[in-house]
Amino acid sequence: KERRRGRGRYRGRKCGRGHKGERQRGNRPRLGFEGGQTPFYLAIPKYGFNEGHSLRRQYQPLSLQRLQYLIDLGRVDPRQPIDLTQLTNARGVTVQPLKRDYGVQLVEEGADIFSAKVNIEVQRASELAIATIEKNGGVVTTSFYDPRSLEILCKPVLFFLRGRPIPKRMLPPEDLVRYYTDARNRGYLADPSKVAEARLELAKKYGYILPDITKDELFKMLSTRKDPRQIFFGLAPGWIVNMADKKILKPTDEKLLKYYSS
Amino acid sequence: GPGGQHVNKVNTKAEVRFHLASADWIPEAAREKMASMHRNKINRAGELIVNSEESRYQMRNLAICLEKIRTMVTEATEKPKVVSKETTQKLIERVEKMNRERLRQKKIHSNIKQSRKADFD
Repeated sequence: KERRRGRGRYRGRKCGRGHKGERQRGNRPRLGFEGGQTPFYLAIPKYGFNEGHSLRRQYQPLSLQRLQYLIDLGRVDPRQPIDLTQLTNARGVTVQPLKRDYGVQLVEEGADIFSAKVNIEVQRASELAIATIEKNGGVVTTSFYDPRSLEILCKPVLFFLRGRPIPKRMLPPEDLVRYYTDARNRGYLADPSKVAEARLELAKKYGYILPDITKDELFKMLSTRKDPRQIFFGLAPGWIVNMADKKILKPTDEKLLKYYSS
Repeated sequence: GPGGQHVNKVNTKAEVRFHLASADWIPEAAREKMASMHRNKINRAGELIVNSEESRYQMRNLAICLEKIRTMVTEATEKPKVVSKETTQKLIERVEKMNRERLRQKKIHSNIKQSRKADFD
């Protein structure tokens, strides 16, 4: 394309530099200088708003509206338990484990429109989101994935091509243990009876009749949950998946079995 | 509603109404008290109306309505505080003791001030 040159009547003469002074002569002071007055960026005292921001846990938000959109388009199958792997394969969410992402959180953006019966497993969920999913007859669970297992979960094929055995999922750190053992957050380490109580409580709070999932035809699928040390649904820790020969190798040594089943 | 700002287009107001006189899940006394306390919220047909439009989600508005009804019922069922005899006696004793102490201190102060007077030589 044509390069804009400073010649001719329009762009010539003062060449957009103004009239005399520091502006025209190119000698303006540094950015932020206010003519000697204490500049704004020095007058305001320091406070640790962003301190440790690179160590904070981040969770990619997943709104109910987006989930409904994915289900309607057929990208996510509601007849199977919905996991982070399913969501990543459907390109519904993009998780970056290297950027301190610890998973996905459910956000209540499309709460009024949502109407799908699903078994979802996320890392964090807000109360309204849990209530909406249970109102439609679904099941929510919150579970913890440490960064290594999260990477394996998001990109399983690349991991299998490495030829390493599947590691066991680590347990949550101290600050998160409380969150995942609480039935109100539907944590995976919480008591199942307390979870049932919490479901009733939510139904009373939000004023809907809790649908009985035991009488549901998909009850078996809805109640499938992962073991705390398991990363994938069908595979156990310690197994090696061979993509080329389409085979799974399981360890037979006693010590290995003991280690992986702890 | 008609177009304009987002506020005018999104309608998530939740309204709960129930016939107060025939609600048998509230005791009689509480029912009458509620009828008198929230007279302005009862319509001609005798229905108590509670609405909320504070949140963007209808479910949350519904939850807020139910909370409001719960607080109404608890307020109507609470009994007036009965102060026992011992407590009233204790309070009266406390007041008397305070007055006695005050007068005693006043007398002491008065003696001090009088002792400073050089009246007779």
